[in-house]
Amino acid sequence: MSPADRGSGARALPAASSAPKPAPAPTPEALERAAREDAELMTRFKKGDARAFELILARHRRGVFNFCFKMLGDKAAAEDALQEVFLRVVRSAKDWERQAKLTTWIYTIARNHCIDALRKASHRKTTSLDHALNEGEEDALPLGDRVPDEEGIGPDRGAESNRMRVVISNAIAALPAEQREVFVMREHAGMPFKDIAAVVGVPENTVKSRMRYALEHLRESLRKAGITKEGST
Amino acid sequence: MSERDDSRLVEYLYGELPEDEVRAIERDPESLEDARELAALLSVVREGDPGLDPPAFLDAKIMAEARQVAEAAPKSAWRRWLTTPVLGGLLAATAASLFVVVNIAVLDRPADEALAPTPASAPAQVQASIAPGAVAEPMAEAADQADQAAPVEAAKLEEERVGAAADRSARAEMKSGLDALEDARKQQDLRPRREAAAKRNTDKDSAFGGDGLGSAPRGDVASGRAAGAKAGKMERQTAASGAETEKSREDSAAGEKSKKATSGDDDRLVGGLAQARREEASDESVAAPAKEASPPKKPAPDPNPAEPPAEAAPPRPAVRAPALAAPPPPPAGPVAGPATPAPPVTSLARLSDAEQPAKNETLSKTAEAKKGGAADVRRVAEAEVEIARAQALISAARLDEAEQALVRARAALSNTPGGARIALRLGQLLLSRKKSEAALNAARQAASWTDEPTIRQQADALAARAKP
Repeated sequence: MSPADRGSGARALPAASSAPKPAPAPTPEALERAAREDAELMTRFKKGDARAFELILARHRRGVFNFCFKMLGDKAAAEDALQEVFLRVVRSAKDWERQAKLTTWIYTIARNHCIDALRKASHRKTTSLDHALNEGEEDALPLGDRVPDEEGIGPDRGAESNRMRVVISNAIAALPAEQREVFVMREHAGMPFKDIAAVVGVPENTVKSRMRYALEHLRESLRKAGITKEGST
Repeated sequence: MSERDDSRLVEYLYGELPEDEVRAIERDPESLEDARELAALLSVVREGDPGLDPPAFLDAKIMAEARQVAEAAPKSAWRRWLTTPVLGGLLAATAASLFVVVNIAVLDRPADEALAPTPASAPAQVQASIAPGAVAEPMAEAADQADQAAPVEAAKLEEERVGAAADRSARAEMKSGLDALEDARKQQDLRPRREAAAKRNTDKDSAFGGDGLGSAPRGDVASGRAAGAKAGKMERQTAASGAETEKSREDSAAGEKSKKATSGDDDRLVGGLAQARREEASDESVAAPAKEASPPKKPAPDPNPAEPPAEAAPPRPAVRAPALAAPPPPPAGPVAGPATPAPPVTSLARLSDAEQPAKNETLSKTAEAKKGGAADVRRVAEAEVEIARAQALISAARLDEAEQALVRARAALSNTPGGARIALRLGQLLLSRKKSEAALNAARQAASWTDEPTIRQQADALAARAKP
């Protein structure tokens, strides 16, 4: 039974109008202003203003945390990674040059940390099906419960939201790492493709292509999970 | 689908595609359908997975580290001064102390030098300094001040003294230098003073027991050329009852002093042989006395505190004293300077008359300056500056300005014997410049400001020449 044949068992994607509504993207001016503010805050911190770094942390902690969480797949590891990344930022602040974009710099550190952490974890850790993927979430389900069954996500609306989240999280986690990092940096950190390309170290068109493949993979995963554009679960 | 198409589709989804390409995508049904599905997918993903907020407690450690780094960050200068007032205060106090010390040193030096050419002290003291037995009292007063400075440098100077105590052979050379000085004295009719000096020399030998020469560096002491200078110093030290404050100064100019000591021109022994050597050097270039005038600021130790040194700060061989006391210039006028570029002092020296008594005043001037008021010292220093300027101007044939400088010097020492000498020189300059009336006035001033017979005679002679 193909996902397309699931019929009513699939949740419908939002019905698109004649022309799809493009995802809201920050304007270039807003991005430039944000980068300028970041640079100003970092300069103040380098001169001894600890309050400036508090603002930097407030601006980027969520994006970095989600990036690490999606990359590592473990909340505790993401928390450790968040701390480690910002501690590195603090300790390396004196080496930061104003010409470098702060966002790019921070996510480069975060990406390197995640790569190292994954490399270390790959040698000693295996995930059980009873292990909750989203640790720390009260409603986190064991991994075995998150695998969509043949009937797709159940009709219970309250549980549907959780199941939807699980499906999406699983779909993202199942992405190849190079597509996942691009997707997360774009969707959760709101970074422009140009900056993502700088972090990843590939051309911008390659980043966009990876994003395209990531979306295709997600669509396929959701389709397999019974989520279709035509109907609800 | 090519990478280019992927890029366009993604740009379309995120609203980064140019308007014309947006229309191109929307015109293509396949692309449009694809874009619709992906846009819907993104909406579902954003809705279903909005992301997590990290726990707040994570920030504590990060911010603690950030504060630590921020505190270690270099602060601006004014912030450092504000946040470290103690350090700032210490630095300010150090700077102020240095400033005061340097100022004192700078003020002290011209004061000593200025005393040599400007007879600002009372004529009675000048006469007393000429008298063989009258030297001790003013010098002893000045020596009291030297006693205060002596302990400060005692350790350092003691070390020097011990290090040089082994130079016994040098003492023999100094004896010979002393003999040479003795010969020089014989050429002058100063037998009573010579006898007094010999007596002091004997006292000195017994007082220092061979160590009195020890403060001199070995190399200098061993130098044969230094023998005469050392002998002169020893004699002065004897007269001063052990004061050694000028020892290092004497050492620095030992070679030249040796020559001077044996030149045979010494006719003034009162106040120490160093004074006599300065007089002998008056005919030489200024370079030699200049070395004497800038001795190292190394106070001599007090080898025998029980025996008060008679010379607190022994008269520094003044740079300009010999020049001012030099023989007068030829009647042709002071403009005629030496053929070779000579120091300004020499030019003025030719302008002045022989003023041998002035040389004898140096010692007493020094002593008086040490105990005199700051105002006198300042006046003397001002006069000295003006005299030096006048000398330089005369060398440069700028006689108008030289005249003004002498006028200012005279004003600084008005109604004093020193002022009388300056007035006399000013009168000579004026007379050489055909300003007879002004020269006459200057000569009268010179005669009225001093009781020195020599100056008065010269002033009278100048007045006679200046009379129309």
